[in-house]
Amino acid sequence: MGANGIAQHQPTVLAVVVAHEPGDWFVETLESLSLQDYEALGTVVVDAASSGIGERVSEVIGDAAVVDGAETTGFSQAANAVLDAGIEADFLLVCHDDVALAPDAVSVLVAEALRSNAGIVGPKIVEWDRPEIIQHAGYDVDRFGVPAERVGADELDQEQQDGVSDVFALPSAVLLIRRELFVRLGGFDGGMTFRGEDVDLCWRAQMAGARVMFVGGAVARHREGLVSRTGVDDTRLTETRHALRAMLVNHGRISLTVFLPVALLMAVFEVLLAIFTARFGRVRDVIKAWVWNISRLDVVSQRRQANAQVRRVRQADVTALQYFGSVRLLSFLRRQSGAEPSGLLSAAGRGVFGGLRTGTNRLAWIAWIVVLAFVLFGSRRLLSSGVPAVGDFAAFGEDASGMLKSWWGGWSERNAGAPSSNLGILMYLGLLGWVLGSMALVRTLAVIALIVVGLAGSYRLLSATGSRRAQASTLFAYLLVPLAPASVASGSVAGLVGYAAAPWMLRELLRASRAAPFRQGPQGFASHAAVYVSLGVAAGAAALIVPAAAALVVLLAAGLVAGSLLAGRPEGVPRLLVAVVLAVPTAAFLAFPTVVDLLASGPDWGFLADGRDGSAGMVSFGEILRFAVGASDPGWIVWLFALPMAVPLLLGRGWRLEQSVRLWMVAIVAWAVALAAQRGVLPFGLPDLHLLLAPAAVAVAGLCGMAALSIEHDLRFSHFGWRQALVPVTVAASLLLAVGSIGSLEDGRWRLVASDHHSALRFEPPVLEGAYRVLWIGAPEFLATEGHSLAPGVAWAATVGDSVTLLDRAIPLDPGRADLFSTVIEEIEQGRTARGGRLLAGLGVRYVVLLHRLAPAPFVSEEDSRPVPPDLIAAMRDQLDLELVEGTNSAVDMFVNTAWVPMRALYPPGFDEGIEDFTDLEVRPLNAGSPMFSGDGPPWTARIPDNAEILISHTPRPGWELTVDGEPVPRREALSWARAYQPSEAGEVQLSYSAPWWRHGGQLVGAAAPVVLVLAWLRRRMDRS
Amino acid sequence: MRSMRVLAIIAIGGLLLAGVLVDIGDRAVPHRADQYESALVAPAGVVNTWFCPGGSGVAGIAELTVQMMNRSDERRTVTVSVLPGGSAPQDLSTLEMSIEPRGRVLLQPSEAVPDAEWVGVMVETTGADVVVEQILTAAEGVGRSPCLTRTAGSWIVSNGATRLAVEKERFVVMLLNPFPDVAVVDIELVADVGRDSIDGLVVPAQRVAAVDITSEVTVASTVAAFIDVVSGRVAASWIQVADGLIAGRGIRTAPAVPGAADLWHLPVAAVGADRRDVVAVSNPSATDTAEVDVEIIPEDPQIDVGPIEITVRPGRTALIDLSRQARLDGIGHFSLAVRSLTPVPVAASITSVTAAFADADSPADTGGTAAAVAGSTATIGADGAARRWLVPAEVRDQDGATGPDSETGSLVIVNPSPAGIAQADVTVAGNLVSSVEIGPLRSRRLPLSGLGSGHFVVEVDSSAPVVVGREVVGLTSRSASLGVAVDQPVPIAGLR
Repeated sequence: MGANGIAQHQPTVLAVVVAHEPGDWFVETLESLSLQDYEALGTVVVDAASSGIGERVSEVIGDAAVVDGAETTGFSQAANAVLDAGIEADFLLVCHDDVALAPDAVSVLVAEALRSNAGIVGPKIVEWDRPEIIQHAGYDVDRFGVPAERVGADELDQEQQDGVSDVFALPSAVLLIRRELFVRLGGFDGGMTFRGEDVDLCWRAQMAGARVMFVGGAVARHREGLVSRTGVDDTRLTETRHALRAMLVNHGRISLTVFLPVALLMAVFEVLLAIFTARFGRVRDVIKAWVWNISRLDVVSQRRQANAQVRRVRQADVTALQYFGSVRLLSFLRRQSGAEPSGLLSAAGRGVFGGLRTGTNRLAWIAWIVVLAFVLFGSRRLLSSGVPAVGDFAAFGEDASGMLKSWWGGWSERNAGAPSSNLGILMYLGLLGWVLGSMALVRTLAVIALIVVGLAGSYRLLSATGSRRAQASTLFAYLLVPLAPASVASGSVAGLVGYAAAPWMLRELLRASRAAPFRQGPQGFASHAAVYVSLGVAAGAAALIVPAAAALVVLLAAGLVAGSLLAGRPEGVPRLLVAVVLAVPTAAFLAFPTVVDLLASGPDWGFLADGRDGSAGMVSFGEILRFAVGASDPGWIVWLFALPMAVPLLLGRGWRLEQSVRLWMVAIVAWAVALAAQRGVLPFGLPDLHLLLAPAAVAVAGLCGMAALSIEHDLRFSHFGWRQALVPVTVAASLLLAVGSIGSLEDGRWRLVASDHHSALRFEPPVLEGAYRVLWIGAPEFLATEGHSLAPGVAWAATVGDSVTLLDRAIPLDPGRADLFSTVIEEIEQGRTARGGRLLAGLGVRYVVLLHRLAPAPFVSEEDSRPVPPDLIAAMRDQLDLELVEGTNSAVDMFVNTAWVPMRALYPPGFDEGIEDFTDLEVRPLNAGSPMFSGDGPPWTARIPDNAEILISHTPRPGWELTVDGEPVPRREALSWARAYQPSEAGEVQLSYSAPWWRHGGQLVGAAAPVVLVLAWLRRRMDRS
Repeated sequence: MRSMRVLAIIAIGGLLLAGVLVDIGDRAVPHRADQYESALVAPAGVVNTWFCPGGSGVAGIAELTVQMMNRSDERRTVTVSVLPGGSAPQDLSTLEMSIEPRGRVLLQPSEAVPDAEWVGVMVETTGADVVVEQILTAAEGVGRSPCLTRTAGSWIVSNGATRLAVEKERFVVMLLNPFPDVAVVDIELVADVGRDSIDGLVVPAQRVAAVDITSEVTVASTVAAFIDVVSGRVAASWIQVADGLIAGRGIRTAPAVPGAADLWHLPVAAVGADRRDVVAVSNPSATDTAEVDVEIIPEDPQIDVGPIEITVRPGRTALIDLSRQARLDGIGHFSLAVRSLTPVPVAASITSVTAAFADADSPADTGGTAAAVAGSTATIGADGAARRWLVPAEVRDQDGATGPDSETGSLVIVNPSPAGIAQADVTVAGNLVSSVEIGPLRSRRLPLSGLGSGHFVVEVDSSAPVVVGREVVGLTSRSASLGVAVDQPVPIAGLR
């Protein structure tokens, strides 16, 4: 034996145990060293806390040396203390004070180090109390210095890690390193107190050309209880701080230039996410980590210089050994998907690529790739040319700021104007437009996104069944159901929203019913509440865009209730009813403050019915069943859906049959309501037919999924016979459906027309001529904004300016003076006036447009027209002051009001003398006045002369104010409905509208609601994982 | 499980079948009931617009005068727009006029547009208290008719004549376009001498156009004009001037008929030695033949006369000369109902030519006619009935002034209902002057001289929809027309 008790014939190994006030287990640690079968093993214990453990050490290992590490801070500096102790061993076995090595561990490690010529080797580390569980098997490390475990959480030791492999880093709990290498590298980075020092050491070893190897044959147990021992949980802080330090120190200049900005961006993202999820501790950790490193740039620089001395391998070769992506990001994504956060890279490999190796996963991936390719290819012209403003597809306006301004302004110009209850969706669309720089692009993406959201919902619909085939079948079927193309072709936003929301609503209702197989998972209040909240979110999100879409929940629930009763399973019925009721608060929260406004202003069914009056339509029951309700007929091929829909009824057993019956009833209820609407048997109007059919569409898709399930599980119980023949027949029908749907891809725009009325109509620019309104009359489906019923199948709406935008769909709190429009139209229609133009002029109407078709000819043929009734056209033409514009497209009749006066104009005082009632305008027409406030607003500013009055043709409501040089101007009623302001002197005037503070508050709450719910969901997912 | 499966399949199949069955029946298609638009002159709004398609300027064949009578006790202000016509470029002229309570204003619009060859007028009034008539003064006499209260896209003029050389007949169709955009009109002329057409006639915005049919179809004893407004809408009337042995001497004017109907009433008709009434029935259909009955409605309920049955070929006009109908001899005053028996609507009007008595002492009543003054009248039929009517009336006295003792015209009230009795109150200047009961499909004639004197407005209030006509005898001419319906008219064909 030589100095320090090291044998001379074998490579000498010095075990360096860094101890810091160890507990009772320390004896076991020391004993494990003393029992090693490797003879040339010496031991030195660094007493980091200077707690006088020499006696405890000498009791177990008599010849062990104890080094006072009182001057050191942290593990790294303590371990480095041996560098100054003149050690001459060949290898250093660096150990924590809470590890216990297997008796052969050192000999196996030394043998492998010699055999592989490795610089650092490390054992398989298992848990202290449960040695059957692998704790560490080396680290993979990404280019940001973040390590990832190579084993999963609680991974059972089944000898799967007993081999030898190259790894990028090894944990410092136990590692064997050549002394010469340790010295050359300067030991651990003394600035890294705990955590991350091992990654840094190994990274530098890699740079120096040393192999780092994991040796599964050597085993050590590890307590890993640093937090409980120190009482300080700074794990995240130190990990983040030291990973960043490792990155800053160990990357080459070029690679650092690349990765440092990326790391900074990721840190910002992490901070934002942490803020939004109320994890402020995490925010602090990330910021402190960066501040700590920035404040030590001089040390970083020194260490980089030192590294340059030891570097033997090109940086690119080292980087190639590291994980390509971000361990932290991957960890986050896997937490969101519910996967285990540990064993990250191998699990990720299994999830992304390895998953393809399993048949069902491969099917799901292929299904999604095909479906998304189908949607994108079918939308190629929409993506390249945009979506024309057809039907509900109102333009979004030219700039995002206008959208945001309108959302915040709280005033709707629609009809006669009224305070509006703008939904938060406007704010989000505006922000998205601001980010993307194009509102048109946002609009196009919104249309396509609704389809994709619906498809995603359909895929998730049957996830509880655990059958990927069923999910994929549902996905394909929902894609092939012609509701989405019909909605796009008809310009029906309501249809698309229904398509997007119905699968999610149905899924949550099925979960709420707790009927098999939807009763998985823990049952309890939190679980039930989550379902109600999810259902409310689905309804509220739909209502954010089309308020009537929230009612789909009722329609779907009615179908499920009927199905449950028919299936003889009434126990789920009360749960469904409770779910519908308890979903209301969440939906109301999302739709805040509109829902409050609607309740406060009284129920307005016409608003939900969008100008429909309950009169009969032209769509037959057969067309309803085929979803042939749009501008294009999908043809007979849709009947083929009947085959897969019948399969679960004929083959299904148990819950598959029960759920099939429920889905059938959902479809039937939706079809029945649609039929009732089309036959005009209801005393009130119903929303868009596309929206009403959305439950049927998802039910059809769900039944196709159930068909796959029945074939998968139930067919085998049947004797050979006609049931087996169903399979090829169903497959053939599905193939035919798929082939038949290819036709819808032909034009790349889902048969949506290529042009809109706006391109066929010529309006004078309001900025030049003065602000005006346009009165639109036509079928409710043709109007770009919610209409008011005028006659069976005919509605009217009025908009301001030369274009109709999404802002015109803002929901007014009250109708304002929309009644005046109805009055004037009725006067004209009944032939009680020949001067309708004068009356309309009192409302600022300059143009009257009668829409006979959805879009201009030749894009929509005459067969698809729904002309305005001839007597109404004749009545319009009877007006002496409405001039028919000759030569306009045959799809419209456009009249110019020759008696028009601007909505906002300057007049001499007393301009409306003698006009006691609005109808007096018929005999006392207004002079034109001088237009003012013609641009975008409110607010507007202008300069006025002395002795003038300003007519403002809006519904008078508190909040409007006109000031001259900052002083409010008195006002009076004009034309018996509008306002005239009477400035006393010339000056700079400003007309503005300010909503009350509580309305702004409500809007903020409404806008924040989606964020709050998303963050709550995120937090729940993160907490669960 | 098996029973549940069977039950579910049956229920689902049954529900789908029920849907199919429910949809088999006729559905209440969103068909807007066609709004009835009567051919009657019927001011219906708070502000009413009267269209007088007009006549000529000062130097023309029939100078236009507009008469506005206020039947209310309040002063009324009217806005008169004078629309010029002809080749001279002239703009519309607008003036405001005030009419005294129960007053009457005469306006010569040619003074506002002195260079215009033809003149039309548009009068805007507040309320239905003002009645507007156009009076055309020609060398051959004076013709008058109420102005129109509507425009239309098609018009029918059933009976004109163009024997210029022999009978000095001139037939002019007046088209008034009050709108701010031009109107384009096609006119098809169907005459006893053949067919002709005028295509693409442009009526400029806020102008009148006079179409002299005499120059288009010469030497026709009967011409019908079918007017189709290709673009825009117009108001139409016609002027017939004659001075011949056969046609008599006089001028008659009447609105054109805006559309065809299944049933028409002609309240004023008579036969007599010096009176020749001709009913014109036009069939505007291009393909279908109309079988028509002209039903006689005698004033005397004891008299029953069978209908005159005629066939009207597509696009043709049938003329029935009542003076040649022996069945009508001695039945006194009567009204007519023109009923299409086939589902082919027709248009009906009546013209009357009266020769003046050489001897003023000759019996005035030869079968019920008022023939002291020669002249020619034209009246379009009524396809609708109303409960309230206004009738401008005029009663002249012997020496040229108006007065109650002269041979005057009459007011005719027809109850077109086949079942109900109508109780009609006749009021003049707020005073009830007569109250009559009229049985189903019967008429009552009231002499205007018994109702008032001078120029006045007769108001008729009836318990059931009626048709009111009048025949006015002036100093040198006579005229007949329907009254002005001031209650919402209802279609006669639908009366029970």
